[in-house]
Amino acid sequence: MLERVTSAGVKKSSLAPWRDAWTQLWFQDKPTTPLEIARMGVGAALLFHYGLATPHLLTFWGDSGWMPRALLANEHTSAWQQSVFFYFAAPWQWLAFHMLFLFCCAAFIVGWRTSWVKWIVLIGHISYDYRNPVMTYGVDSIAACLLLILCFAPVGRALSLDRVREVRAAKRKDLAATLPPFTSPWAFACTRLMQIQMAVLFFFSGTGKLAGNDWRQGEAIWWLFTNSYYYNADILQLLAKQYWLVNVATYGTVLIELAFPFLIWQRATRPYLLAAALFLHFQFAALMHLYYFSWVMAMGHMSFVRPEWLNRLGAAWKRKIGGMEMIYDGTCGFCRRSMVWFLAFDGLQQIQVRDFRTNPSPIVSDEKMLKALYLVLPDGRALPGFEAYRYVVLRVPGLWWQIPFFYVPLFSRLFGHPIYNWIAANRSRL
Amino acid sequence: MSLLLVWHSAAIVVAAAPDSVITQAATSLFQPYFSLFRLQNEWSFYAPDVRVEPEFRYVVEDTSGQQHLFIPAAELSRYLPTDIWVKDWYIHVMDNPDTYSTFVGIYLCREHASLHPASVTLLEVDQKDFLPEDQLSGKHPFDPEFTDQKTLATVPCSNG
Repeated sequence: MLERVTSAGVKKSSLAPWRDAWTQLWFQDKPTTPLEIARMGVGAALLFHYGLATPHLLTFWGDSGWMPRALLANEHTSAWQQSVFFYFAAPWQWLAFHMLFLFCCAAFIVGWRTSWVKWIVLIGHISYDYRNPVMTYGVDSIAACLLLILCFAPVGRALSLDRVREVRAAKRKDLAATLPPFTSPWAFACTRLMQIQMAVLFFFSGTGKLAGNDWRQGEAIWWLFTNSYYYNADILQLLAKQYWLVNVATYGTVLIELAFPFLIWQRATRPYLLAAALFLHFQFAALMHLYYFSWVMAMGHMSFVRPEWLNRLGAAWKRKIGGMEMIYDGTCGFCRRSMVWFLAFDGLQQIQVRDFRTNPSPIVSDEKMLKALYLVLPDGRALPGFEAYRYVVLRVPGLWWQIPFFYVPLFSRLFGHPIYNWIAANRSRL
Repeated sequence: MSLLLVWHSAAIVVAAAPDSVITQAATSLFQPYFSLFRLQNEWSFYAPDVRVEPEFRYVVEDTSGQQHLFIPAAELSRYLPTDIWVKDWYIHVMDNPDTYSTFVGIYLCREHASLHPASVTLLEVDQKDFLPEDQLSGKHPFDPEFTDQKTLATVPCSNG
């Protein structure tokens, strides 16, 4: 009996380091922030791309367009290659699905009902690709790979309307309530999957180039720019005059692609490799006009952004802007509901609140507070009503989407002040 | 969860791995997963060598015998992300003329119905090597001396 217990104990302790290593590799308790950036970026790329394709919907993907069903059989090799378009018959069905898809892309960007819209975005993207597979290229594959990982992941828990709704629900019970950032081991596991995806992609892209003479001889970039599709007279002239640039660019591309999968994992080298990869994609966008490709790749690389970097960035922003105190009327239901909405977007928690009815401000008198909400700045200035909101939306990242409403020259103030004053005067009835 | 992570990580590697007996066996296991989620890609961007891609052109001959040359690439805007799809479709047509030329011919007859087309001739323009010294001597990669034009097919238009 003693022998059995001892043997089990030894077995347990010998497995423990493996289990710890596995947990360290996959299951650290981390936020979803890097994945959320990828979610917003990939969603925006898809919305923009497929949105621009709307006038060509039936040409690209319809039965009377460039890929009739009879020819499609030549391109498909597996019954698992499915598309919702295979089940449509009337043009309105294409249009209805396209609109639903674009709507879901928009919802995916803002993180509204993310847990299910992400699946529609994935299904939609794959459906377009399989309906006309000859039109697709590398970026469509990358987008599908990233989308699947985002579908596995618990995205929508930060930088999203879903998070806003969650915070709002807590603040409706208690305006001062704060929710801790969402973290989970599974979020880290999915971030790791995306990192592996990007590293493998770079590895095979780099080793594939080593097999070709163009790349080995340092001439690939020259041939690329003589291509009719990438031709640019100025660039070609520069490269012809300074041919060493061709060699540097060719070998530099291969070097980055080969170094990336090995050096991106180390704490010390990650910032450099990440910067190099982003620089590479910036060049693809600027010189080859591969905007969609470069953008989606850059979003995949966001998985390597450490949450600590983002936390430091947020803290630096908060320090730069300084604390702000919003003073409101706690007896007014409308004011309270507005504050709940407003604060739900303040992810960095830059705004403190004060109900002047229970906690009068030493800076703004109660008489003034009866007329409007006030914002007290770190330097002691107090901004009333519309000006308070106007000041805040520029300085709270979660409220940046309101900037167009508050900063249209002339018009925002022309209409904003009377609208605010009317609401303030009638707040007890709203 | 660990099983899913191992499975998907393996899929990421196998999907891109070069062809071999081992990867063929692994691919057959993963194939439904690859196909369903569109995961298979070799990630061979411009590799092993950069392909100088051909340009697609076509000539519509109307019923009076007049010829109209069209160069679809000239109408593409590099600032629109969808244009690369259009370019890739034409390249696929040129790479697979036996499969696509009749369909594309008939499609273009319909597109240019206002010209009263009698036939559509599909052309592929291939570029020859264009060297730095050619550029420095003021030549252009699409000058006739650097291009070869071949006819893919001539498709009669039924309404012509």
